[in-house]
Amino acid sequence: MQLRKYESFFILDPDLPEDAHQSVGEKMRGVVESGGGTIVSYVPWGKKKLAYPVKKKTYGYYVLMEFASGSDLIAELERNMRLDERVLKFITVKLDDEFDPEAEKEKAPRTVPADDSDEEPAALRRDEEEGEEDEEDEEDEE
Amino acid sequence: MALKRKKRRRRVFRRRRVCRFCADASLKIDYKDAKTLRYFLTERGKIIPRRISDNCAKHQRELTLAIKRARQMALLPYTVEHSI
Repeated sequence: MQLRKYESFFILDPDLPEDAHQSVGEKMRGVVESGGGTIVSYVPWGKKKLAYPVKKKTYGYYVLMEFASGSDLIAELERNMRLDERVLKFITVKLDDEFDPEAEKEKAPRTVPADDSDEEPAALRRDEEEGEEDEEDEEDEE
Repeated sequence: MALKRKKRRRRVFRRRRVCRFCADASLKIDYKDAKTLRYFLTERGKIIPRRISDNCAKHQRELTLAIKRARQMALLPYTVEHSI
């Protein structure tokens, strides 16, 4: 069967102890591996504030898991996540139609992104935009 | 008619319209990157239209998809008007 590359991003209950988070991770990894998939990476992002409350919780423990598997495994994985009370929310996105294990080795290890506070990323600073209007044809005015 | 208007005052403030994602290839649209996506939301959490944000059609499409995914994952708000 053709392996595709996916990523699963899910939120765990933040009030659970750390070993509970790990056991959920192990369970999900087990689901993927027993279904013939391979885990590419498993990165816990840690506790973050949610944009809106989910199941009365204002924080969530985010985890990002990249893996390769067949397409029918996704349904099984998502069924497991839906049944597990410790998982608040999840999303699975297909990253690539083909999985190339060789290409994975070259890639840098995934890391947790820097904590995003309210500061804007440098590339998107607002003052860049302003003052760029070029006044053309001003001599037309009488 | 178009000519006539041109002859008269053409004091148009033309802002340079460049799509930010086209200009900077290092800037990736990722639904997990709430920090970047938040820039394309209004204070009420609505997606800023293309005519304001100056994005090209392709990137605006990718952006809206990313924002909607980020909303699903509670990284971005659906609305700010919550009375909890």
